[in-house]
Amino acid sequence: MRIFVRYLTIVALSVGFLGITSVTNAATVNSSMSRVKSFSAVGSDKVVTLKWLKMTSTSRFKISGYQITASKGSWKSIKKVSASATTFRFTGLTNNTNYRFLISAMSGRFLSPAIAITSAPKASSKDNAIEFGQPADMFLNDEDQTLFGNALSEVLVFTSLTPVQCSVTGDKVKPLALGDCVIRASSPAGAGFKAAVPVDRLLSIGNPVTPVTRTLLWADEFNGASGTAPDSSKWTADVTDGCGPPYNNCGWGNSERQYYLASKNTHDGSTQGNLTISATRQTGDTNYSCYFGRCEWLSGKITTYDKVGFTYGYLESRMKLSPGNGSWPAFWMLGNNIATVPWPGCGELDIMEFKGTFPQVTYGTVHYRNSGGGHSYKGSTRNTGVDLSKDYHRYGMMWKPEEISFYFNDILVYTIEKSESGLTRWPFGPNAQGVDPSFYAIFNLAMGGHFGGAIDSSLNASSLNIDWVRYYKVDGFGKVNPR
Amino acid sequence: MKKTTRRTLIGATTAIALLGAIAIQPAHAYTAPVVGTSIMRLTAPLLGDTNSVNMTFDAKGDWDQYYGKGLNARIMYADVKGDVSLTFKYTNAAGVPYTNRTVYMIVNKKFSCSKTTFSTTQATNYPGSNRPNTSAIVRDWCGDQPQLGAGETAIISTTDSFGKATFTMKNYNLTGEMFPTALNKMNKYSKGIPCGDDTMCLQTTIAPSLYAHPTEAQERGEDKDLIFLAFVNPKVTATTKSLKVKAGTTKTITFKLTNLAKKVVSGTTVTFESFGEGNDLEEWSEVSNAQGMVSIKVSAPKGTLGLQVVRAKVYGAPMGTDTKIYWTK
Repeated sequence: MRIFVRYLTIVALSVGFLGITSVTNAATVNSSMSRVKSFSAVGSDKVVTLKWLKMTSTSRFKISGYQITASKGSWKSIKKVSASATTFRFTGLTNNTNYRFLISAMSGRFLSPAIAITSAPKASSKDNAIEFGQPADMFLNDEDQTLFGNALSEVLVFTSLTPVQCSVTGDKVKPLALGDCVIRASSPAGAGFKAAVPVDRLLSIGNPVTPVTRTLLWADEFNGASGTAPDSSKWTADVTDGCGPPYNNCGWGNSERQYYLASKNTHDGSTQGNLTISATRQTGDTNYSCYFGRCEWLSGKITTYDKVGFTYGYLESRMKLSPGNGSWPAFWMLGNNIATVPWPGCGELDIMEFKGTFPQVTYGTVHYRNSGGGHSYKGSTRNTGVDLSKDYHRYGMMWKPEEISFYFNDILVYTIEKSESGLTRWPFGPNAQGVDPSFYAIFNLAMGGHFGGAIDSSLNASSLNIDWVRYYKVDGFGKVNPR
Repeated sequence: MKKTTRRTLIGATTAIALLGAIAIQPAHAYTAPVVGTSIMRLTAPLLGDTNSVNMTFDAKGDWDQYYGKGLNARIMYADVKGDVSLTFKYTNAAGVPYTNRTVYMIVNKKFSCSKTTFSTTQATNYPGSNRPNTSAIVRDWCGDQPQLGAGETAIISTTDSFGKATFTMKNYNLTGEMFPTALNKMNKYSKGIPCGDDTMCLQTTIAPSLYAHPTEAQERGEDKDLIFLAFVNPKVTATTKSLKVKAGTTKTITFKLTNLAKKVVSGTTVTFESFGEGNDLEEWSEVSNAQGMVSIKVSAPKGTLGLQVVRAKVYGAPMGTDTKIYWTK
């Protein structure tokens, strides 16, 4: 209902606030005065900001200021601002509550008819967005996989949309049944953020890959007594920094920073039975001199060179890798003919390489001499989604005369076929005389170097733990060549 | 909305114009699709009702006749000049994965008239001879002008032990469609913003297949996800939508560029237009900086009263974002 009241007396409340002049005098509404124009209100967190257009004085009414009233139920607050003002902020309000605001221009004791607007302060709602990494596919017997994601609000919830195929607890997904597992990442509204659009990812649950026929030909379970060296009928320790005979390869060809000692390769004597290759920083005086000066790290390396050779087949090891930026553990092979056919002509098979700076990633690579006489390599990585230095996993290689495949927990990492090498004869198959190659196995823990990168200055020790290494004949491929 | 319909009137008309021959192909009589012998679905990214537009309804009873019965068609948005990675899962009709098998993802599908261009580091199969190198994926000239390129390019991959294969490529178009209002809302192609063969529409039609260039009969045996991948320009947001400025002074106004992931976009050229009051703009384009920002100075002679609208557009984009400047005394 509109009521025309030509003269209405309002007694304004006394408020001393932000420099606003107290209003103590009675004012009279004069309907001849123009109303304030373009009065608007914008609510934000506990605040409503009012804006209006500045009014121009006339010969009859000289604008002396504005009177603004906020009210909610029986509560009321009146402010007076100067004639030059075009905005005012009411602060300390209650969020999500409607307030009524009135504004009148003042001219001496007269007030213009009021303009009203209603607005509610509200907590700021910022846009929210989710980043959710693609989880890796899983086999039924896989360990739980960690999901990776984040939200602008830093609140992220994972749920399984396919509870038959997989369950999710916190950020871990567990495979339950064959099929496709769909996981949703959600970020609800809160803490000043809007709810984000959820992101769904699909990972497949498959059957573990089991070779058709697999016969164990050779193994070392590393069940020796605590502190003892690995079986000398199978393993030889490489020592020094690589300088000098018989290696003549300072820094082991990669500017590595460690000095190998046989004593760094020892059984841990545990129930599980592991071989530990431990790397330790040399902080005090040392008797060991490296090619770059005083040795920084002592570590270990063992090989089956001159003890046991392998031709084709499936070689696998269960390992917990060494943590820390700069650590570079490896499980690999070199051609037994390396003395007469220098690297890379002898061939190199890297079943597992790892760098502490990327603790979820395993590398599988082959190195060989290319048709131009230079070094070529091909390989790939798998981001496993888990920190490989936290637990044991299996790293394997299926080697056939014209095809080599690397596996992580039975999941294919990379396959190279001879045809991809561009070679008519490669070092991983029969030579010109039709003789099959023989390779030896190596475990080592390097520090730094071209691949390991910068070593964390706060890192003082790291270790590669090997539960076992096993060699199988698979589908007719596989032969042990004892010396 | 572009579809992979064969021998449409547009295609035929284009053929007439270019070849000067009156050879309109008869439209096929509709043949209801049958259940395929293979299934191929997009598994990453996983498309749903929040991040894509379901167009399957558009195919039913019409162009679904060229595919298996399990056809799904969806529009998905991607950043122009961005990287694309799509993973498909290939199985037989019973859902058993095809493992260690050579499979394909067809880009700029024949007859789609897709104008997108890409490069890929994966092996490709392209039946034409006019592409600059084997890494390039060139546009489809509506499939029926082989002298201009035979259309679709197939990226080749091998499935893993889960039947999955991932395909990656990088878009090389300079400018794309308007930024969508939402990931599940179709851009307005028909309401004042032309599509078809016009520059304002930038989609590629993508289809997985067991064949590099399947025949119609082969493709009817494949239940698949058909993806219309639309490449969009960055979103331009005015840091201030309107402001009052005293005439006789100079004010700098700024705009921010973000992509579909809401991350800032640098290195993109933005053009400016001005309407209404105020002096002419001193600059007409600027490249977004590392923070995704572009800025422009506005000024007006003393005594100017009224409204000036400054519009910022990604270079080549049909629509822009405005800042309103109210010049006051």
